[in-house]
This record gives sequence, C-alpha cells and structure tokens, in this order.
Amino acid sequence: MFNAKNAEGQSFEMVWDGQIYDLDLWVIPKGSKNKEAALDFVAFSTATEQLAAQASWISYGPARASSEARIGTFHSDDSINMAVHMPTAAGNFKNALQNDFEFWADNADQLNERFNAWLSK
Amino acid sequence: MADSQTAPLEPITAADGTPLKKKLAQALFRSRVRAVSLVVPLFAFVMASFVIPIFALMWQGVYNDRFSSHMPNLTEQLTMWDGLTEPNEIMYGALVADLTTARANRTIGRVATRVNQEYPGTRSLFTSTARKAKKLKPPFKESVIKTNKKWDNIEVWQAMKITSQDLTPGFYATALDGRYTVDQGFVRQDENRQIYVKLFWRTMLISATVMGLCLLLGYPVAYLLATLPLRTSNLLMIMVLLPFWTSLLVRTTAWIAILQSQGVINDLMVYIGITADDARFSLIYNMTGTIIAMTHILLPFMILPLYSVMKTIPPSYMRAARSLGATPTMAFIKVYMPQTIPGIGAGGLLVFILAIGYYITPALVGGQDGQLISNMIAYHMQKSLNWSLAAALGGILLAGVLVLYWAYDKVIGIDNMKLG
Repeated sequence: MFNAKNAEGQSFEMVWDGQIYDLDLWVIPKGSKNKEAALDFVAFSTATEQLAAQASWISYGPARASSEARIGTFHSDDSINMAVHMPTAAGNFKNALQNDFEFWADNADQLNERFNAWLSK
Repeated sequence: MADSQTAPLEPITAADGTPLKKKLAQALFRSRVRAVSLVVPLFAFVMASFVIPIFALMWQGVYNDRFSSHMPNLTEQLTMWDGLTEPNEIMYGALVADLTTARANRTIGRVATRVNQEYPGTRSLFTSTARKAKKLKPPFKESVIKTNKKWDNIEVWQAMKITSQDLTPGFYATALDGRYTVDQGFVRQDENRQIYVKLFWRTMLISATVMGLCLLLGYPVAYLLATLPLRTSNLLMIMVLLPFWTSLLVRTTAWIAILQSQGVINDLMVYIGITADDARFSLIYNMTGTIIAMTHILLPFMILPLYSVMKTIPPSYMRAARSLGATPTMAFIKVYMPQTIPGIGAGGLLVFILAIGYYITPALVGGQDGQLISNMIAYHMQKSLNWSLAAALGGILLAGVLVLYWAYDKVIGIDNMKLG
C-alpha cells in the first residue's frame, strides 16, 4: 500500500484507526549448532539502529520505541519521511489491537460459521 | 469336437475321454471366468475409489473417536457420569492423568479441536491446562480449577461427555442447524447461526430451477435435432456438443466476462439505453449468475437424452394423429409429448442430480446468495477441517437424492428412463 501510494502515486489513503498489528518473531530451533551466532544475529537485528534502518526500506513499524526517533527517509526517495508512514507512529497507533492467536484458536470455527450464516442471509 | 460313435448307453465323451457334459461345463466355466475377469479391474477400481471411500467418510459423520482414543481414563469416568451433578474429584483426577499423557504424546491438539467443535472457546483451555498438568497436585478438583476457572463450568464437562461418545448424533444435529446436548437432546441453534437447512432448501430450489430451465430450453432444440434433415441437424448437433467438450472452467469464466457489471451484456444495455450507467444489472455473483451459468453448463445433459428418445419416435404417428383430425398442437401434446417422457425423466434426473452437487460454478459466480450446500461441504473439508460435519452434510444430501430417486421411480418408473 505504501508503495502504491508513494512510489506509484495512486490515490490511496491509509486508515490507521482500529489497525490490527502482529509481531514478527525470531526462533532458534532447539539443539541448533550455531546457537551463539544465532543469538548474536538476533541481538544485532533487533537493535534500535537496525530496526530504524529497516524502516527506510518498507513501512513496517519498528518493534522498539527507541527506534522511532531515528527513522529516516525512504531509501530511494529522500523527500519521503518514513516516520509518518509507520503503523507505530504516535498518531497512527492510538486505537491499535494486537492479533490474538489464542482467541482465534478458540473462536475461529465458531466465528467463521456465524460469518457464513450472516453472509447467506 | 465330440466323437460320439459309441454304444448308446455309455455317456457321450469328448475326444480326450472325459464325459461331454463335464467338458461342456468346463468350457462354460472358463468363458464365464474370462467374462468376469474382464469386469474385475473396473469393479475393483469402483470399489476402491468410490464405494469404500464413500462409506468410510459417511461413517465419520456418526463416528468420531478423537476424544475417547486419546483420553481413555476420562472417557471411562464420563460414561459413568450422569451429566447433571457436579463433577467429582475422581473425574478431575482422570482429566489430569489424560491431559498429561496427551501432552506427552502430542495428541492434546486433536482432543482440544474436537471439544472446541462441540463447545467453542475451549481449545486453549485444553492446551494450556495440559502444559501445566504434569505439575498439578491433588486435590485435583481444586488445583485444576485454579489453573483456569472455566473448568468449574459444567457445560465444559457436558461437552466433553458428548464428545467422549464415539457414536454421536452431534454432527447430524449440527448439519440440521441444531445442537446435541446431554440434558435436552436435540436443541435448535440460535437464529443468527442457522445456515445449513436454508442452504439445503436453496440447493434444491436452484437445482429444480436449473432443471426446469434446461427442459424449457432443451426440448425445442432436441426436437429440431431429431426432426430436421441430417445436414442441418448435424450442424446443430456440433453446436450442442462443442460447448459440452469445452472445459467447465472456461465456460464459467466466460460467463463472468459476459455478465459482470462492466461486462458485455451490461455495456450493451447501457449503450442501447435500457438502463442507466449507474444502475447496471447485477447478473453475477448472486443467485442469478449461478442459475444462468449452471443452466448453460448442464443443458447438453438434458438435450442428449431427449434427442435420443425423440429420434426413435416414428414421424408417422404425428401424421396419423393429424389425419385423424387432431390440430397440430393437439397432436403434439397428446401423441408426441407422452412418448418423450422417458427422455424428460432421464434428462431431468441427470440435470437435477448433477446440479445438486455442483461446486465449481457456484463457487466462482455464486457470490453470497448463490452458494450451494456443496460449497459448505468443501469449506468443512478444506478450511475448518471438520470432516465429520462435512460427512454429515454429505450424508443428508445423499439421502435427499435417494429419496428423490425413489419418488421418481414411484411416479414415472426407473425402467422407463432412457439415456441413449
């Protein structure tokens, strides 16, 4: 969406109100041979500086609040300030809801059924 | 073969000395074996790929041992429980023991999914308590409820009692918009959750409409095919068969191109001025789209049986009726039409049974109110993975078709059907 709006100039507007966000995670398999190197990488990639740098490539919000202040401009276009396009930007994050796996594990079937019943009305 | 120049009282023997009767029986047996062995591959194929899977799946609609096979101790306790009194300490102890083994065997997910089908919102209750089960200390009733107070809810236990019964009417109850409960038996589902019964009726209605339209459109075509001179009728036949040979998917997507709101028909209507640009007809992604596309796709199944029957009706009958004073309409209705009934029956039954299980076309052009029960069955097979419910829905559909078949046999007679 960010790309369509800013790089391709489509007339889209993001509505951040009520956004549902999800966290991405790193996992190290049990018994991994390179556990130390993996831990180093996780520490590196989730550091303030790296998360802020990631934001200049794609409009994914950094998981650290400390990254927010360091977000720069879009990698190919200096005129775009990425900070305002972050889902985690102060103004965008007011009414955000975290995706709850446990809720969906418990209720997905039932809600899908109700949704289908509602659709077929 | 027979060399029978022997004394009349002795049995007639073949060239190698065996009695002719025995020889003949052997030869007949061999030919019978040969005939049967030609059929065996097909028979085995049909059994393995059709009959056995159907019954295996139908069986799943009433039999589900997910719970009892992974929770044996609790199942034993639940069988003894009356379903109404407060669950006791022994039951909680059995629960903890079974949760611990189920967690160790990694089968807890299956148990949780099964109970969640019966009582939504309990999946994480099972998985999270199972994680802690190993460390729980007696008295178990207290410690289990301490992990999650949902365990104090008798409805959870009632749901477990129902799922612990391998042979269950629960899935058929769900397929009929109801619920099977311990204390009240079959209970109707809330108004806003009822869906399947309505879909069954809609499936029947759409199938009947498609059948009627096919008959209406196919009858004149079949009549032309049977009565026109060979040159013209051959050309007509090709026009019937060409779409029949085209892929189903191609024909369905072609209808999307024709019927959509920016499609051929709507553009034409706007151009001619029949409708305004902002009030285009919605011809697709609803019931109309399903009916139009299905009628087109199933039309050859109506035309071909009709044609094969009409072809055998001698034209002299009509001429005889005319010469005896009947008007053309009268002759057609009284003499010609009754003779085409086997074809109408065969085509109608064929189209109706095909339509009742139709899946791809409604899935593509059905939108909201053009979905059939088969789409719901596919949903439960592929998405929700509730195969038992899919089997129950399929079982009801199969029963419906068999009832219609029986009714057809009573009214018209199945011997009267002619497919070609």
